Amino acid sequence: MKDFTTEPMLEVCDVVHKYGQVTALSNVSLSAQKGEFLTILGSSGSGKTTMLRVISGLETPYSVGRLRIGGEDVVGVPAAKRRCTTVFQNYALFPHMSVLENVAYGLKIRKLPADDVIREARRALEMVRLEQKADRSIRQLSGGERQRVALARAVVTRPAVLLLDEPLGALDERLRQDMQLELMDLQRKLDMTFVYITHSQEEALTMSDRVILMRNGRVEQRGEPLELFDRPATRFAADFMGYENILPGRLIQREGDRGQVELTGGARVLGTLAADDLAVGDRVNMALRAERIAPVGPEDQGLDGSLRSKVYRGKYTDMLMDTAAGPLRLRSWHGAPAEHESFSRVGWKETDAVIFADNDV
Amino acid sequence: MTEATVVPQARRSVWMDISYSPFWKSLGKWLGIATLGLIYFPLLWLVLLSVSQDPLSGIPGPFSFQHYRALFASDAWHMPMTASVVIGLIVGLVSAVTATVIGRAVPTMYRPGRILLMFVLPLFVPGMSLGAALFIFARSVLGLDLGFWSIAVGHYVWAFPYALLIVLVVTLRFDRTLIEAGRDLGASDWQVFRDIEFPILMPGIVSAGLFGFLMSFNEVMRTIFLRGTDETMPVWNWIQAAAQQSQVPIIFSLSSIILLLTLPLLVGVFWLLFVRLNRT
Repeated sequence: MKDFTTEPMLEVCDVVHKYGQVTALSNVSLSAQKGEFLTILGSSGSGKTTMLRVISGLETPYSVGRLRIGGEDVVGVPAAKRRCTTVFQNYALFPHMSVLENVAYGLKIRKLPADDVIREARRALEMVRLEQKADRSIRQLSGGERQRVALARAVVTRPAVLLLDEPLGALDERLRQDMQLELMDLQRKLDMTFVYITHSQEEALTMSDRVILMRNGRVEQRGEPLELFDRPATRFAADFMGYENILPGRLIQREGDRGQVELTGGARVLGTLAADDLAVGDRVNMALRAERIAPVGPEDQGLDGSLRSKVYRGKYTDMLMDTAAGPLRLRSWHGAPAEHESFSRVGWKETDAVIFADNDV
Repeated sequence: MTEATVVPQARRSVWMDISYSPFWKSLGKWLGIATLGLIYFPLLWLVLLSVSQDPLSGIPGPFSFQHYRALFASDAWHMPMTASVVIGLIVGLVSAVTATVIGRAVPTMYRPGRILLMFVLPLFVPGMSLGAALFIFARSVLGLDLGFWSIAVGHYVWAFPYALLIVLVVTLRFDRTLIEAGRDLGASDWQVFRDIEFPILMPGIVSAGLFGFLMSFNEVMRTIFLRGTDETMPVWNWIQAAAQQSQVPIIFSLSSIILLLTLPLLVGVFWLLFVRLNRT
């Protein structure tokens, strides 16, 4: 784990933004340290792109308490004068310029000597392994190559913060995974602050030091990737992070961060509390990942039920079980043998079941 | 019951056979060739006659350059030619600039359809009506003496819709995130326009200018109303041709020269619009 002790490279406090009557951001705050990989995660319409545009200066917020990039106050400073650059979703490469000219543009604008401009631009292209294609036109590049040109163009001016707006969205699965590793590698090498926007929880988990989950223009939850993955604090977060089972119930007992929940239907099960402020008697939800549920013996904690359906999907088997608390999804990675198995009770480790307040829709 | 359903199907398939018989393809081909001939043969004939000794006979040959010599010896066509070229340049330049300013604003408009239709409508307004209307407008509202400037205004009204349509080809395709990308990299608004937007729009703007020039240079209908006593090249040509004087042979030469000069311009416009534009 990286240690971030230096002053923040990016500080944003209380951004409010509206498009007409629609509030796109309501009091969003975030900060990122030098060399940190911060991911803003959210579905479309969550305000994540607006947030990025506010930081870059392409959007002027309705109001903002504090906005500092690289230690400088940039409230009211135009995009061109901010020490941050953006990798756009559609790359926004200049079609009338060669690869090298695209990368060199930011330096040329800064009136650097022509020799330095070329040298720096070539070095940036080398970094993304495109030095061979410096003189190509943009049209002659593949999607992945365009992506890398956009990256080189954005980092060549050595911004304090690099903003990436779903940069891998247009690439196919395989390429996306390669580019994820490449991005992480690049970020480590440059020791630059990255603010990365995505709707993919998988990308967020793989790459980030910290994740901010946004919903309807607000921060839903923030934390380290594993925290979000294993301890979602709301129903929305659990759903977004891919929890297949969210069971309603009432907290009937708690001890430290362990809690016992009486699910609808009366079954009492154990799990881990996502937040400290839950009290006995509160209405709660319990979230369970399908693959963390397995058949158990009659004396273990869990739920009784009967198997309704079974779909063998090659790598794993998806099962649906009817229980007193409602239908429960299970995923077994044991492959074909599990197909013939039959069981009437399933359970889970207490640490795999997350309990959070049932306070949102 | 079954017979009743079979018969109409059979009949329909006969019609299908006729609609898509190979006959239509070959008819299309020959009709196309004939039409192309109708378009280009007279032009070729004109050039051939211009180098013939007796063009008024209508049959080419024997060949000589005597009418070209007569053309260059005469200065009767200098004034109309100068007027046409200067008006054409003014109209081309003004059309290109105004079409660019307006064409850049259109993509940012909310539902520009109706406004665009109004801009383009003059293309279909009969030249006579527009000519007569402008004739009254230029004299009584603008207070212009009929002549050079009233012709220029008339030509501008005629050329602008074309120029706008051509500029819209590039402005509507222009990706506005490129402007944001430029600003994001540190470019001032002027730098963004100079380095990014203008070079990308340039083929359309230049085409609009060239096309504006050509539209003005070829215009007769509106010019007749607006010219007063001035003459433009096509009007002079037309008067000469109608007059049945001994001068007539030299207008064959003049028309040929104009044809050979304007064709490359047109080729340039289409190259810019269809070849150059697809590269960006």
